[in-house]
Amino acid sequence: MTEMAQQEIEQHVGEFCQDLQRLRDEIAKMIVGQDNIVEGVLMAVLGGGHALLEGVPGLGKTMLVRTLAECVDAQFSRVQFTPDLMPADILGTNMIVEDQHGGKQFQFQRGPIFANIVLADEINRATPKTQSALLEAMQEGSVTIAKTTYQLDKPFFVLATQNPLEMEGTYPLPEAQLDRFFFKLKVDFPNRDELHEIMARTTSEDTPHPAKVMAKERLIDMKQFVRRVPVARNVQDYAIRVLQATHPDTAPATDMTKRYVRYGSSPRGVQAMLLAGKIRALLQSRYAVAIDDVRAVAPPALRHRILLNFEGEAEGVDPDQIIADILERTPEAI
Amino acid sequence: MGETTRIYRVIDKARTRLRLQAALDGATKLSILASALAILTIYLERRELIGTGAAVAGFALCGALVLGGVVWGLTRRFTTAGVAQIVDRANGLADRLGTACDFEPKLRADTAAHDPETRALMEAAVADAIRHLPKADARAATPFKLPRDFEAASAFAAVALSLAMLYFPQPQLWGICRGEGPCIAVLDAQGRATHETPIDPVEIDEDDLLYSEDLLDELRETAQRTGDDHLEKFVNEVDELLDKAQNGDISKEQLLKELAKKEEEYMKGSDEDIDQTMADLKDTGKELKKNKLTEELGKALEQGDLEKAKQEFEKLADKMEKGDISDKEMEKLAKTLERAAEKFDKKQDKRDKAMDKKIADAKKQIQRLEKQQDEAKNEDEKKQAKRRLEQKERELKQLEREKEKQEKSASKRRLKRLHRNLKNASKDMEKSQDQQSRRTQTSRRMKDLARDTGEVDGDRRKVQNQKKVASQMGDMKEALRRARKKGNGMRDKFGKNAKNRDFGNRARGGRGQRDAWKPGQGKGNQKGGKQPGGSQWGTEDGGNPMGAATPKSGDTQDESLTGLQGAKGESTRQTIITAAQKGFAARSYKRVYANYKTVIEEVMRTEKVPSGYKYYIKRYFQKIKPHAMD
Repeated sequence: MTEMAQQEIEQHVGEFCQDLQRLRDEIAKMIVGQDNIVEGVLMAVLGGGHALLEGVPGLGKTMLVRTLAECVDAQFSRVQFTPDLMPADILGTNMIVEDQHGGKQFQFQRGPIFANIVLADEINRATPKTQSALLEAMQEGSVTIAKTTYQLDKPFFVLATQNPLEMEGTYPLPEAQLDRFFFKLKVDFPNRDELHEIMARTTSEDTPHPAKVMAKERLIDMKQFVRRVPVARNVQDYAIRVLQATHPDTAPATDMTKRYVRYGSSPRGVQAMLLAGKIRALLQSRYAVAIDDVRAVAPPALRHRILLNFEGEAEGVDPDQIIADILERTPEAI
Repeated sequence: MGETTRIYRVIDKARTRLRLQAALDGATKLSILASALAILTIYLERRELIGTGAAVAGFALCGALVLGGVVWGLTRRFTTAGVAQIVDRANGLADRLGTACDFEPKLRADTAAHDPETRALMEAAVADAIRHLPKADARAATPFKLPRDFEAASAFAAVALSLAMLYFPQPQLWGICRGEGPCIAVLDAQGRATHETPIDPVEIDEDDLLYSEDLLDELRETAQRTGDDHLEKFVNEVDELLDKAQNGDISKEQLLKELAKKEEEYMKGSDEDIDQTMADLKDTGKELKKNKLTEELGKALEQGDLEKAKQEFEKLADKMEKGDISDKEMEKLAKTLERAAEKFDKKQDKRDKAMDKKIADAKKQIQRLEKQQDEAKNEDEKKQAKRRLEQKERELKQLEREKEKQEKSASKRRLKRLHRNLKNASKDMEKSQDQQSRRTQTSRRMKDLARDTGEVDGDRRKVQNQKKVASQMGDMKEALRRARKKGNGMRDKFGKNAKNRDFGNRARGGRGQRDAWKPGQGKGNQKGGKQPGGSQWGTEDGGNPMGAATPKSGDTQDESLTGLQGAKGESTRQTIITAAQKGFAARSYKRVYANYKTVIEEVMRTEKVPSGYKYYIKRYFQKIKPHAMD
């Protein structure tokens, strides 16, 4: 490789890291702590996927997404999911409008989904029909209404939230739908110091405002750059073996998997691990994914893709325990 | 990309260390098995269940096992990716080396991604790995560890070594031992006896010893009479072994083993078909008898008196040397010799052809049977055909072995040479040359013939002696097998040895002991009670123990003996009892002995007498054998 090319690549990686760090710093002005959540969300965005946040209300989930949108000068919308929410409330609908000549015609009124960053709050409260309307749009990147397809603007990112406390009257997302989310992130309650900081920021006069630090086009470029990061064969092999270990009927499956898991992760799990691993490698100024990167991103990438069996649920086994067991027992090299 | 060799060098170094560790682990693991095998070998060797050769082989196998473990470890496969990962992990390199090893060949072979930015990132990853290479410490990544099985291996090895030090055979020297009884002294570096290992001395019964010595005396006498030096040497060697056994220098097993070895050495060539040789010579003798000059020679050959035949050849040689044979006689003699040689050749050819024909027939039959086997319709037929085929194959092998034996037979070769010399002598006699040369030449031929005859005679005597040795040695070994270890056997509870000694003395013409057993008496010093049968000797003869005289036929010579009736001589019973009391030298006793021995030998030959009983019968007759001196 020539010196020039070497410098160019280093520059690209440096810029990537800097831009991302700038974004993180800007978000950190509004969000106290939750570094892993912020990182996870950014990984999901740069990985071209969507994130599912699970946490009690009031932890700054909406704030996070809104801040992200403002930092990248992206359009933001929030949808509060309720049991009576209809698909049209999300996607939009045709309405009769009067034209300038007094005539009436149908005009499609875009729904809140037509934004760059969408916050779908308490997604498990809406009916499956409404959930599927959103999830379909997430998958396709477009909306079809009355035989007309409307492309969603890029970048398009959905952050969905779930409230772990409210289980009555909710419609848990089916597994096939959960698989569409790149990451599932668990939002922990802030610690005391963080709470002090939150109070300082939110109950005083000076409320910070995030500034635009990145154009949304730059975000698209960064997404593409991430995909160019190479992965060595042995690292990819490790990620695949970890995935296989989530399936109880495969050779690499651990005892815990065989005991508590009904179904393991789909190949989307490996995709998420590798893409997130690439981002992590770049953040550490490395040019290729390492096994440690895969190990670090495995829990958010796999926890919502592992379906427990009756025994697992009865014993209250957490998928994170299973993932930890898999990471411990899966050999890094064969 | 040249700098990437530095990466591979680090990986290779780590790989070597991993292999060495694997070799150590493998050797340790297999050393457990090796130690177990060593323990077993030492035990078996100590118990004499295996010989020294097998023990050495066992230990060699132990070494081979450990070596095998080393080789296995050194040849174990460690992939570059695997080794790189180990180095990366140990040095916190975040898979840089492993990634570089994956990317570098692809970049070199131009099979990497097409996207230029991806390629650039791959190259950057390789360069990054090279930059971090100073941190890659192969030694830190692959430290040498004590093998997992080290403790178990050490324990086994310790046990094996302890056993080896305790039981491994040390140089043994015949030294002066403390304590009683024979022993082997182990001398240390200073020549001091440090350890005694008693051997198992054998107690040869005095009776058996005497018997053995008698057998040896017979053989010695035969050796001297027949001039068989090998036999004499054999007898001396056996005598020495018996002395050693008596002195407790060798154990019973060693004695029997050595005896068997000596016997085997002496018995080489005992399977020669000497009867066939003598039959051929007899035929030759018949032919030679037709000529006046060789009449005596022919008779001697016909009668099997090869010593005389040899002398006749020498006489003939003298006559020829002196010119006592006329030309006409020479001519006739030549023809006689030629006829005799040709007759022998014809017979030999016929025999060889017969043998070859038998072999050829057997081969044909085998082919036919093979075909039958292939064409067999069912399993039964096939089995039968196979059985017949195997039998025929065995017969063929037997015939081939016989043929080979005949071709290699020493006595056969000598016989052929003798007849060849007959033919050559005949040619010499017919050659037209000056008289002196002819006489000298033919005389030399006669001397050659005398020598050949002497050699054949030597072969005959040797085979006869070997047969005798086989019989005598069988008896001796039987006697020695019954010998017990010293201290283990019954003592002479009944004073048998003393009685036998007395009996032996009298049998040799010596004096018996006053208090020794006499017939008609009980044990010890007790007064003899009234015995059944009266107080006088019987006066009737015991009948003819040989039965009716066998009519003379063939070459046997029968001696007809009858007991004398009335007061003219002792009855058979009288003779025996007198001999038992006073000794076995009497001529009359010799006759009685001969009678009984002939009958007994015939019975043992024709009747099914158990071999254990035969031994005792032979022993008994050996004891009551008449004394040589008269």
